[in-house]
Amino acid sequence: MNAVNEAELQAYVDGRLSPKEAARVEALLAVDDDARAEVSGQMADRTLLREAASAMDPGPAPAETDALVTELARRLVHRRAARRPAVLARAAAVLLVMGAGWMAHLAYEQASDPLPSFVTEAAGAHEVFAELKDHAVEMEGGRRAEMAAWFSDRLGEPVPVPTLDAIGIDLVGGRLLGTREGPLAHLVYEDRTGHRMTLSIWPHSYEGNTAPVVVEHHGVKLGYWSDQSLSYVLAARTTDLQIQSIAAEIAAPWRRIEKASLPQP
Amino acid sequence: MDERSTVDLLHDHTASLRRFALVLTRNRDEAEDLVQETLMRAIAAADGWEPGTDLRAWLFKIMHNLHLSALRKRQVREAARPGLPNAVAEASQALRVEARQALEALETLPEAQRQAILMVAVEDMRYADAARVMGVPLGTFMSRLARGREALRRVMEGARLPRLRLVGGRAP
Repeated sequence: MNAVNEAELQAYVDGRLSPKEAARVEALLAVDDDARAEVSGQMADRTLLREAASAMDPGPAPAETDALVTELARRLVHRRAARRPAVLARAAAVLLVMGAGWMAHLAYEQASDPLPSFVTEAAGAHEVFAELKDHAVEMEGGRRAEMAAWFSDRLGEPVPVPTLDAIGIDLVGGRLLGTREGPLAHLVYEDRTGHRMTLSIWPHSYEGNTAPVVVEHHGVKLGYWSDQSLSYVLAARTTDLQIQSIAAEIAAPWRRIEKASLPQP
Repeated sequence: MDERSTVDLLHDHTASLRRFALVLTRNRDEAEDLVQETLMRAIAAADGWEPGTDLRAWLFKIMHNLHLSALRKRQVREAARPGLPNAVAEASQALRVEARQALEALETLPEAQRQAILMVAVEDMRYADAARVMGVPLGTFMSRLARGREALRRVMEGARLPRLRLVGGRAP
């Protein structure tokens, strides 16, 4: 895959690509004079608009506006208090921060290739929870909708709980973990022969949509990718091909960015 | 999060709403009315806000809808088109000529493209949030942003030509 799509190019203009993604775009632009001129022009326009907008000072807010702000804050806080999740769930997440963080730290230190920290966090979570037969999950796989709502509420983004029935893999259940990367949704799956696989999901703050990458870490295969708002790490003791095909099965419905019209070199 | 920090957060968001409203309406009084109406709607709809979701994007969405219906009703945009009225014109006096040109070039774009560019380039809003504000799928939003920036580029290129001619002293 060497084409740059329209969305990626815009993310490049806005400086929202990861260094690796940006390097790939730059390599393609390096051999395409027209595209390079267009992109650098768009970047210059962006800078000028920011400069112009920052000069657009609306002045101090009138008292009526301030009063409305105060009233809105009051309403939002009261609303939020009504929906605060159970204290117990939060306490459990806090306890797990230590466990998962510690495992991830160990894993990271031992890795010869530094991996993104969310990937090592996921590897740590997999090692700790995947093989636990009794306490692997907090919520059983039969309560998918409930689990999705719970994760979405805690992660602040709509979180999918993918079903893999079509490829003969059952959802055992899920739990919420606290990590250095923030709360993580952790799903445990099992195939017909009892092999366990885990899927970790986080919200991320960069512009995502990266294709799955597969790495091996202490005998565990890790496939990781992101969509616009979430990062995913799939972990299992299996083959690259298997990880890739399961990742594709999970990622497919969420990857809908249109293909680009950038002229190819 | 307590009431105090929510107030602080809302003040930040309101500052960005007010600036955005000013660029949208190009008129100080209209901009302040738009912001106040947005806050009133938000107060009425506070129970509908999902905790954990982006509060700023939610406010922008309310403002976006109010602005669109105001445009439809009064066709403010058409009335405002010839020349840049007060707020923008007066603020842009202080700008470098290139920045002023960029602002003027932006004025010539369709409303949807103009707003897409502003949310992303000026307000640093995430693409997914900005798409939600405009109520379109992410792919549609990205196309809108790309088309808008291409169009802006063409206007900017056009704007540069007369100056180049002056510098050279003779038309090409």
